[in-house]
Amino acid sequence: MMAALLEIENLTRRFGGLLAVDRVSGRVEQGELVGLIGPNGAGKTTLFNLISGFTPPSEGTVRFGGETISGLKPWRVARRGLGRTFQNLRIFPNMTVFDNVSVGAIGAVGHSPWRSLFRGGRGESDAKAVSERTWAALERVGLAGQGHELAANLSYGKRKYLEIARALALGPRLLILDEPAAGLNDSETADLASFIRGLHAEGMTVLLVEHDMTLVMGICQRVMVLASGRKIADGTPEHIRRDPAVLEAYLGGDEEDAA
Amino acid sequence: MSKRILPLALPLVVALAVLVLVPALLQASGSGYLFRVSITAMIFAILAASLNFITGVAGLLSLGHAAFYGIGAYAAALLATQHGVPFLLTIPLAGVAAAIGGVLVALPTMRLVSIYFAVATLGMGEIIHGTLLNWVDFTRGPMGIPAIPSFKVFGLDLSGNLGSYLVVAVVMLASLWVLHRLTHSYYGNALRALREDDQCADSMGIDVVRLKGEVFAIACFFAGVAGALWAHTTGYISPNDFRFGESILVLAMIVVGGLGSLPGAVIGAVLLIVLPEALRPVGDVRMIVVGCVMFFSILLLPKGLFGEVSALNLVRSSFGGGWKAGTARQSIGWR
Repeated sequence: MMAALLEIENLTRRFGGLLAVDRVSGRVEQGELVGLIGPNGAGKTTLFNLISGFTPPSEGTVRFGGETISGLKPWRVARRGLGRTFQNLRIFPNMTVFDNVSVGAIGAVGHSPWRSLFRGGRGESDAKAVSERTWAALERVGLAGQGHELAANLSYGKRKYLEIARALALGPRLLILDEPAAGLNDSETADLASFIRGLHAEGMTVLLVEHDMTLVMGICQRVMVLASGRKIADGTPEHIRRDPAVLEAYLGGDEEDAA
Repeated sequence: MSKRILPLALPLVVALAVLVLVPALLQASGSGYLFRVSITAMIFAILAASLNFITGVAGLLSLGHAAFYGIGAYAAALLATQHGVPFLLTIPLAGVAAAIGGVLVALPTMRLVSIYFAVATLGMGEIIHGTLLNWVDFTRGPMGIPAIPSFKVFGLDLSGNLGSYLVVAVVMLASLWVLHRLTHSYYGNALRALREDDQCADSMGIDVVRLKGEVFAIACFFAGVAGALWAHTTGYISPNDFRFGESILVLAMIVVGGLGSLPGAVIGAVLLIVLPEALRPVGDVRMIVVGCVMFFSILLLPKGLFGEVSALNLVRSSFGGGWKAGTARQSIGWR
């Protein structure tokens, strides 16, 4: 049997006396579109930071593509093919749209001062590769016409896509989106949902971390639910919707609010 | 048509102006003083461009840049006076000495950010200045190093006004070219990402720690080169030339010119060297006028005389970066 693309095992993180993430295990298979939900303070962000390398785990391991990545620095995790966006938009405001997205491409291609100095040879092929990857990502999210613009001048909705494009330029094997629907209205959320579905249809493996259940329930094949640092459910959206533990965690069992 | 000529035209104009037009005018004026001012302006252009690389592009506020300038100057002066090393070697060796100093500073301060990093570099600057001042056996302390030979090589005497000017001009153009390539290539984008949000850059696969070390090594190399030029052209150096005030002067140059902008750094350096000299006729109030120019240029043009965004646009379209006008695919990007 092939190993899952992302596999976490007994992942635990303590902050002083607080158990932020408590023995969480789970996996994301190649080509899956998985949701990770949970109420505020459930440990989603900590779990995310444990996977992406920002926080070292107290116990447990993270495997990505069959290799252990827990303990690696974020940039090494990224280069192995983990692309991410941030909960509160973290674009580079004083750089153009093209330059923002190019950073993901540079992460994949590498940044050698020596090679960027000279034209011709490997320096030139690196520069071309960065440009090509950047353009492909810009076109994928529909921002190709705004490459010259400063990122700070984009609308809020477009900045979301800019962040996704930057992660795509890295050429990720797994794309983790951290609350991408936050701050979007209903029609923008619907557009985003179809965009994510499109990415998934092209073969991208996506892990969607969301506070709000609507988007996740609408598009994910499988949903993991986190509450108080523990994984309390893992299954199809239909299954999750009826799970009493999930209903309990979300607003004390009010099914309407949960779904 | 003009678009195709332009990528070559502007660099050529710059090179001709620096290597032919300006020296011809200076020679015609016959004034050694004007040569001296021009040489100083070019040395500070290198210094400002190198500090801009650290502070403007990579966003690491350094308050100790004069220390690396000093390390370069002392390395060149000691090599030339005590070991008779010719200037063709002292200049790169001075750069290497300063680069090593830069890396030694960068390593322990790697985890510091913003104002904390600035204070650490301030402390480093004081340590190095104090060392130059007090290690009398090695640096001769406050007496300084006199009789540093000027530019002479293979029987060719470049120690005159014109010769010195041309040596400094060539070294400056080469230094600016390297910093230009690094700043405006994809490597520069990695540095700007580091400045804008280092954690975010980290999660995009950018090796932040390595970048910080490289930035310091490269920028301090050129600060050391500038120091060597200073030592060889003035013939005498002392620790007084490399105090905190010099660091702040260079910082003012890059802020006035436009943080992150390479042409801005050069403009700022020329302005803040030439202006006080041009104002000598007005006597004691000249430094007040210089202060007013700094104050109002920041007030009215907070992004600098030649801001980063416009500098990137100009350089990438006119200095062979590959950028073209328009929004079509392939209008931007490196080729």
